[in-house]
Amino acid sequence: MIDGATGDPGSCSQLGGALRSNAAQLLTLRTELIERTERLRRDPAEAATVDDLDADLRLLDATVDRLDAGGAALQRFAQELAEIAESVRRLEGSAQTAGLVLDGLRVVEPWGVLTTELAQQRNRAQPELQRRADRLASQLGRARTVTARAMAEGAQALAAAATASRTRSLR
Amino acid sequence: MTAAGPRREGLVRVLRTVREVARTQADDLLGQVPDSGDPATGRAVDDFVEQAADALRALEEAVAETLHRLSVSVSEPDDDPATRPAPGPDAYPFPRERP
Repeated sequence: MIDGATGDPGSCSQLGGALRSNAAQLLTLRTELIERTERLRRDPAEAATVDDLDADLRLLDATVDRLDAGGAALQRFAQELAEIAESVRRLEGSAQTAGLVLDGLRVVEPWGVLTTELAQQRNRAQPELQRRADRLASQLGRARTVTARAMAEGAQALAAAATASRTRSLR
Repeated sequence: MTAAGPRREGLVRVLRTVREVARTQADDLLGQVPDSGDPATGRAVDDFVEQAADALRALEEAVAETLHRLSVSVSEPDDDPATRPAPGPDAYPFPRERP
């Protein structure tokens, strides 16, 4: 972990899995509900009920789609976080070998007295190690941006679907 | 029961299951505490979870209303409290405080 910057990939993966499993459960019910609705659709006397069921199905569809997409985005994010955390651990080892330490994603010199030879060794290793740290920071930033965008889009679509359904029920 | 009775029995059973599943999922989702390691991403994830739970609640409400209308249209007494839709804001005599 980078002072906790990679969070807990396990908890993100768990939420992603729960969202997708919820979507799958609702999808099974959706199939059955569509079947039942289609049977009623043939009867003109059931038009009002069919209208209600169509509205329920619209909300169900939107919810299933967004739960699944949000879950998938979180699972990808968790995977990326885990990979980045592993790369950071490797970088930490390389830094330690060169007599340097990681402060977040900055490769810095530790406190203490040093010999000329150790100072040269650190100076030689630092730029390359910092480049590796920068690449990880950039990868982490991209993963966060993509996930936050997917979450925001999903939240917006879910809110719109819920509002449309509640507005209909007020009529 | 009307001629459409047997058709409706199966429909009511599915709708009741949808309502129950939606309610359970909404409760379960709000119990999840993911740690994304970043405040902005964390807020986006929290917001998504809240909206997902709210959409599931809306689904529960919509299906409860459909069930209620179904029971009314076949002139059956709506004695299943779970079939009745949740009361709207007008059902409360005083403004409620938001938690």
